[in-house]
Amino acid sequence: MSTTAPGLSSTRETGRRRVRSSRGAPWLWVVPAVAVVLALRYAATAAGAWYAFTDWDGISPHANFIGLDNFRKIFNDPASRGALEHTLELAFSFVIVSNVLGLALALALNRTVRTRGLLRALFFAPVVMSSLAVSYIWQFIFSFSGPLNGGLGRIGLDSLKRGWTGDPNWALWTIFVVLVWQFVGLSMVMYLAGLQGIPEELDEASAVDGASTFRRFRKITLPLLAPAITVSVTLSTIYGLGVFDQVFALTGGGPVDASETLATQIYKQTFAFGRFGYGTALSLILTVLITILAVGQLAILRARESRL
Amino acid sequence: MGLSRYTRRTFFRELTLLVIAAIWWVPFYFLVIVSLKPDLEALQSPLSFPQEVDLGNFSTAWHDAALGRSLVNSLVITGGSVLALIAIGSICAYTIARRPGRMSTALYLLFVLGIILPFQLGLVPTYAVMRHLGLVGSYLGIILLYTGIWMPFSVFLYTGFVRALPKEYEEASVVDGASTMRTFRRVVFPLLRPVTGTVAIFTGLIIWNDFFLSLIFLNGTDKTPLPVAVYTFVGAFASRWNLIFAAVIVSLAPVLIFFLVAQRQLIRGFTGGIKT
Amino acid sequence: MASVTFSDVQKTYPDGTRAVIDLNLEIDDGEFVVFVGPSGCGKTTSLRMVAGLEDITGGELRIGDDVVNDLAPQQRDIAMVFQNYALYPHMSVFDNIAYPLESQGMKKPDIKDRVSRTAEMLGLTEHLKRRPRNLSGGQRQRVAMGRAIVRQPQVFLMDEPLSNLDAKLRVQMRAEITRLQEQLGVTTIFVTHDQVEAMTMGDRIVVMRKGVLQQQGPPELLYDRPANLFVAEFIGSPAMNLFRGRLDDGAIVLGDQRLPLPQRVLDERSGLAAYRGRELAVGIRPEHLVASATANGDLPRLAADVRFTELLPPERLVYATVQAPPVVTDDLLEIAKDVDAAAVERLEELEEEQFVLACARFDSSEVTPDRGTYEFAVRVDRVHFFDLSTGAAVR
Repeated sequence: MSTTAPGLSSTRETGRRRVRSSRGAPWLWVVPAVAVVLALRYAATAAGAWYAFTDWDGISPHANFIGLDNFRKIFNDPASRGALEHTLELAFSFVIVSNVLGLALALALNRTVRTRGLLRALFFAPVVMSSLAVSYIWQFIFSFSGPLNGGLGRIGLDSLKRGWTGDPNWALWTIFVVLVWQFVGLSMVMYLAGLQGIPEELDEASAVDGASTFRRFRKITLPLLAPAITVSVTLSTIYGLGVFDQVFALTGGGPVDASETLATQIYKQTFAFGRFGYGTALSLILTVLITILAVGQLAILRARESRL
Repeated sequence: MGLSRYTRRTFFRELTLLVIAAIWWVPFYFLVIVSLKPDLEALQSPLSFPQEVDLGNFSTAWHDAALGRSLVNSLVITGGSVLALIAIGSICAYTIARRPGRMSTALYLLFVLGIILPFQLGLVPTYAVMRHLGLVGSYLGIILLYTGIWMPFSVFLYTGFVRALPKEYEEASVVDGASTMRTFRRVVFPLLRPVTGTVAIFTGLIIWNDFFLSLIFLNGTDKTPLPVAVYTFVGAFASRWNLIFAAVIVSLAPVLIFFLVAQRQLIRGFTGGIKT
Repeated sequence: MASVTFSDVQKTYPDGTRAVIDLNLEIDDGEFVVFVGPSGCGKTTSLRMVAGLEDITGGELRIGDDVVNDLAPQQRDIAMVFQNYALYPHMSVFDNIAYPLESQGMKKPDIKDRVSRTAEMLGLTEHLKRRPRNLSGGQRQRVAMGRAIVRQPQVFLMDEPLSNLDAKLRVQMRAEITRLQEQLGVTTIFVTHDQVEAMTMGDRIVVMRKGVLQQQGPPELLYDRPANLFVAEFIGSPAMNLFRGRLDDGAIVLGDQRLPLPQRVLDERSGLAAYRGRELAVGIRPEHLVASATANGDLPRLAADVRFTELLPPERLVYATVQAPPVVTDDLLEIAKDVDAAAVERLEELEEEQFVLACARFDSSEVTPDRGTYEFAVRVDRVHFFDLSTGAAVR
């Protein structure tokens, strides 16, 4: 409620109270939330952006401004450059595959399948598990004496056997597999929810009109699914770019930086090598990357949404 | 047209899906059978069905990975963070939603942007400041961190919901003589149960499973939550898969049980929360 | 003392809309006052200002002797029944009714006592453990009343509490509310858009329109001596018949017909002198158009074309067209708009055609006039006159 315009001051005598009291929720109530967000998000981020241009080692109270030095070093360092490449490769493939698979599963699961609830639960279960646990399970699977090689051996492809997570050519892709395995269920569930919002009659009407399944999908389902696609793709992009747990647990970034991502690099440089300024610079790059790609994607997808 | 009929095609579709799901769950199969193997068998024939079953793996894992203590840590940290997110977020959202004006719009924007802003950049300065304040390696520090990171999300969800709540209940309450705090506590907050559920489940799960932040802020202390405990254990017992998997199963147990029980809510929490 | 006094009260919204303008009204302790008017007239806004749910832009509002303009609702010691009841959905009936007492810090045993007595008074004892969603509309309404009564406040405020009930229940509840109010003797302000409700329930009625108080007083006053066209048309069902007529020498001219006015009528209405030879609005209530056969021979006759009749024992409504120009003012258009689009159309039609569809109220035992020309006897001693431009009554 807006504050009162002052009423006429009555000038009568005793027997009347005129108490001013506040109404509605007091502004005090927003203080804790605002304080904690300003401090831990905005102030911290701003500080981070500042330290990215310094040579801070995290211990000494002073940090010297060194301009773009950190960034020059980053682009000259093959490990960091590699991390950037890998991050993009990983995110890109993860977003595409997990969303396409998720959508396919959602479409397959959408109607009349009797074990729908069970199937949904089975695919979604990995999503709620700790990424670490998931990574260790797969580390075993990818290990030299693990089931993957075992299976290959069984079908006579012995030549393909290798230490997957230790192979520079394959390390990154083992992470990819784990990510997809863990998160297909999430995309699936989001698309299922999106599909629920599409009235069956539309599809039926279209079918009666003689449209083929594919056409129905393209013209009716897909456009109406646009909001769900926007959300799912944007979220998987943000997650994929910042992925840490699986990389750390599965390959540790190795062998020899072959599967380093920006997030693991940030961790290493900052907490293992103590190069706080350098690490923050990496963080800045990651943040900018995420912001540009996520926001850009969001804008593009939202625009397509409204066009459809 | 029979689009909704259960035809033969549907049956094969279902079968295919079930097969795919079964294949999807193969990793869990290995998780279980390896965890049951005694040491020797684990080394010699890791992939076969267990000849012997050694349940001692679980107690070894429990003790050597200090899973009991980590479980408590996870509970305290997750519980504390979620409580803070709900309590602080809801009252903030209530004020923003019920007091129209530029201040409210500005604050709302603050939180919305906070959701989009990636958290990584602020991590290092936060670490440095917390270390300076002695908060690294403490419950308070990590709870504060999680609270700060997820507060925008909480406030965002709550605000949307409060705005949609009819004002009548609050009006009735104040006319009935209740103070604003009382009105919030006894009338508004109970009506916010759906959002509280979504916030609790969504953030609770993510915080419970978090590794990155707890690694940075709690590693090496006695306050490590489950993921870090497992990580440390794996570091010490590398390649002893049977023990490792026993630890993993124990660490997954709480979430799995929760999943079995509250599956619907969970999924609704994820899709509902994200849809808004 | 729980009187309620409005002194020059204004309510203006930030965008400039004036919801309540210059409201001056004194409500005595224990009175049952009904605020009535079409939607948007300011009645609910006035009520909410008394509750403290709307800020007062200007003027002074007093409850008892205290100026309450800036007092929060919690501190005004008033109780309110909302249109949609606003029952707390997650609390049982008992908790709903107990809530105000808890908020005041009453002890549990006292609360229990009061709530059970209130519940008994309202016939809610068996429902105390149930949730609002499991109750019928009437039961919910009573819970809302219970929540208001249990506090024994200074003032009861009721915002159209009966609009969501079906007709039969509404009539029943009207009686119950009136009875309760008499029993408890609490000052009550009741808002409704239904003039029948207003007339049957209030000690005093306040008619509002577009934020302005039109007339206030006991029901008979508003019915027999409406202060303006709006009140005349609004109060009374079926509505007053309105014609545009001319005041000739000692007679009203409606279309081609002349209705002589006895000297006594002219003397009683001294204001009419100013309207000699001019047009003005003539209002005749349906019950004052009587059957020719049984009427006094002295009464002037009005010829009309009977169109249809409606039998509603113990009366019969006879609808007939009179060849005389109708009164179509903005007010009437607005009232029609409140009904529906068809009503507006009809009004516009009538304006074009220059005749009035009059309604006459006969006793159902009277002989029904056949379709076709009929002459009504007009009780000219009970005719009302209004200025066409200001709408004010001419007395």
